[in-house]
Amino acid sequence: MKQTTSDILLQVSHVVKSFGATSVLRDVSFDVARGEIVCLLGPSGCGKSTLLNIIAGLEHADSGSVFVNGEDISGTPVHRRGFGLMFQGLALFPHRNVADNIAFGLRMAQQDKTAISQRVAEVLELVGLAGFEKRDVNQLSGGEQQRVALARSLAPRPKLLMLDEPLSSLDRALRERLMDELREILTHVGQTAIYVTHDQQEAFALSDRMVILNAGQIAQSGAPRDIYQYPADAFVARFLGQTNLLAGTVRAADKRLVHTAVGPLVLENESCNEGTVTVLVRPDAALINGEANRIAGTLYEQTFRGRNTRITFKTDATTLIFELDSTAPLPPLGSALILSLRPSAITCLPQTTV
Amino acid sequence: MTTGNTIVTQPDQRRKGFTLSPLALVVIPLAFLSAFYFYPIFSIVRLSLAPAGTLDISAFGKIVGSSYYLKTLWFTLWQAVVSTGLTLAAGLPAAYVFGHYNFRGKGLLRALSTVPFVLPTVVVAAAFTSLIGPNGVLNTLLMGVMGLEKPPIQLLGTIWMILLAHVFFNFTVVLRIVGSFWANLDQSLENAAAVLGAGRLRRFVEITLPLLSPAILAAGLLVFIFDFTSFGVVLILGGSQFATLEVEIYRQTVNVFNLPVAAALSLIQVLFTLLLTIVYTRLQTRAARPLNLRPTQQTLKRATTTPARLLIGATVTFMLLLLIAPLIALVVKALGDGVQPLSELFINRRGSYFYVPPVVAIQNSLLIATATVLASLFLGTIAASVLAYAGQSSSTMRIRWSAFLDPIFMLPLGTSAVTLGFGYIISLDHPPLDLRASPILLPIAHTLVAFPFVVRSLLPVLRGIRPDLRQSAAVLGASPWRVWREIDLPIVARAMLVAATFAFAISMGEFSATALVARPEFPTMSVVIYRFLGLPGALNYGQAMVMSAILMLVCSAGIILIERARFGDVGEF
Repeated sequence: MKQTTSDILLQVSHVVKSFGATSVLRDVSFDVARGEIVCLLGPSGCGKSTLLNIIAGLEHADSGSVFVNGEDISGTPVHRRGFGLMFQGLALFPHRNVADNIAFGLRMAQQDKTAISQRVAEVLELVGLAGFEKRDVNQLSGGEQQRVALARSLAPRPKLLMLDEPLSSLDRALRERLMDELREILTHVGQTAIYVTHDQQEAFALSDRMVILNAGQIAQSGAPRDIYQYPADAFVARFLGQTNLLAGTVRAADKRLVHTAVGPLVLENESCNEGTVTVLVRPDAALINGEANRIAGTLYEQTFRGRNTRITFKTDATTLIFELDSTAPLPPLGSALILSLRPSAITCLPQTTV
Repeated sequence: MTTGNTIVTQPDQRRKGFTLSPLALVVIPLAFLSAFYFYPIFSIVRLSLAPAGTLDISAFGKIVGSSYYLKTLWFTLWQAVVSTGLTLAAGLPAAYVFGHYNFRGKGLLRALSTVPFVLPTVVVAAAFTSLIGPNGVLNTLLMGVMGLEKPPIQLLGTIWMILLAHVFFNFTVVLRIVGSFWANLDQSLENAAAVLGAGRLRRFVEITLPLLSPAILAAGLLVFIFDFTSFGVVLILGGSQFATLEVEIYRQTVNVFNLPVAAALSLIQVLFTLLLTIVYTRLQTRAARPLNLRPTQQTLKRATTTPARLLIGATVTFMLLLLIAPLIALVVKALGDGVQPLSELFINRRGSYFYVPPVVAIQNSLLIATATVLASLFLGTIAASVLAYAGQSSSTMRIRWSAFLDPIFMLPLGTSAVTLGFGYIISLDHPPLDLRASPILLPIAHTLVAFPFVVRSLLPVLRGIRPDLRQSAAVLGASPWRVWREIDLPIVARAMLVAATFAFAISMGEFSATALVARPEFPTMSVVIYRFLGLPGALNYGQAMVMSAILMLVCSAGIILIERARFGDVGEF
């Protein structure tokens, strides 16, 4: 996504935070453009919730700043920032009904009564809970509570909406449905948002851009598709579910040829540097009948997944996971198998650590 | 609960065909109350109002027709309202600090704050006199510094003295009940309000206060009942121009021996307590919400900012001034006459039959207090659990009878100790319950007073536990007992410690009932203090002060010990 400086809503600049001896964030910087949905993705304990709390103003950074429209807001108290935050535990006020929960932020902004009730009805409609005004929040189902929390954080039209693993407590089917709805609602109102999650499926589905955190540092940021295809290092690759990583060497003579434990592999592009490298073989690389990069092994396991079949493929040196087209003829389990790996699905990681 | 109990009992029912609901355990506290509360009260009321077998209610007519009694009632009411308001105002900021921060000396300060609660009124009166009386420490100091002729602080014998003493006595009730509840509140609700644009004050008024209201109501009710039935403070510190109902009951019983009027006043007092508790129960049921209560290790933290440190400093200073200064003045006064009273305490100079070695009195007090803690925790925990479980029931019948039981559990607190003491004397000295000669009567009387405290301390926390926690435990195969053991107990443990402290303190300091039912050969510390005060001479007064100081010390030590307690995996929550 191309952007000019005036498009930038939020800038997080060199934020450092530690709790006692544990350092949680180590020099984190990134931008969020107006109307953009950015996913902060990382394993639990990587510091993403802390980062969100710092942006919201609930925690203070040890050093570094947060800018909104170019203005440093590090000294602005939480309630003057005009942000929205959907909490992981939802934090619905148990002593208020649905309408009063949603109206809370509007009342804080001193809006008049008719405007408030109009807006409440509007956002309830938006999240698909029209007519729920008088309901007791304690009696709602998990999905309904989720929607009320979303409506509450959307109602005051925040400059920036932050969502802290909002779907983590829901069942898979509901989560997938809400994920789509959430994307639709956010883009419909053109909401700038930061979405924190540890689930890459959620991140892929929702974000314009992903920022992947590892141990308090940004491992990689970029468009979901780019990150998936060209992960910066082994951590990112593994975190996104790509486990086929091989050590290899590249000689100066041919930079498209990598020598690995499963044999020499030919690549389509020249992504590799001379010397020791880490090669990523994407799961969709394997074909039953192909000419390039033929490797021999045994079919160890297979799982039918509808259109694809996931196989575990054992060679003398390593174990690889592939997804094959389910129409491809597979031999019985335990048989020898020769696979061909498409050169376009093989890439060298910029950093060599495995 | 749709309902924890139904879910739980189903497998049992299949096995045995029929199981008693765990709620049936409620008969245990009910039986206790019947034997040791309703039976004695009924006996004294019958003796007073129907001595010849026929009911004579002319005493009520006398009371209603007399402007004196009506004025007494009015005074009792308004001083209790004002006292409760002041106690809440003084206690809430401290409850905030204790519910949010860990700081050095916190445990000690909390333990010390309980000491006033246990001191016999006579001792409190002495403490205040030695601090702000005409010849007290503070006035002497101020007169010296400012070169004044007259003592600048003249509160003795005024309503201010009564109000101040009530705050002094009950501060710890607010601090403990509200403080421990506050420590368990989910911080994210306030954070959510902050993100939505609410400033500090709005967050407090709109979020924290409503969520705290069950605990505030519980503490407020206890404090109010204490102030409403106030006896010693009004009699000794207020002087003759002030009289509460309880003081009037005492006068009618002991001075005038007008039993019918005393009994009628007693009933009016009980009736008021009942009414108040019913209103309270209504409010409480409405105020209680399923909260996501947090373990305190997640919520309590050390102060890192300057305002927070200042706040803690201010709280500590305030508590030291209000609560500890009178006690220090008391010790200063006790030792002011040299060590003679202290050494005299250990000598039986006249070979008196009534002489009690201090160690024996301490032993007796501790023994009775321990029994009281165990008995009241046992009874109170059952009662509170039953009320909490039934209150969350889907069956309206259960909710109704829990709303009916709750006020009954509170009754002993609002009952005149004088009346109750007389009730014991006339009803428990012959079969079916012949306990007059038994030392067990004392812990029973104390348990009766401590029991409502235990119930009030536990109930807000038990009600705050989300029903789905219990349900999920039940679905995972836990029996009702295991559900209680695994879910309720760990969450309620902190509150149980609070309750244990109250029970301990009440037993150590309880005097009115003790004076009436204590056996001469089994005297407690407060009885010994009272005996010394009743004897003439500076030496005896000094010995009373020394004994009070020892009582203070033993209490503080006991309370600190209880707060350190851990049972099994149940620690401080």
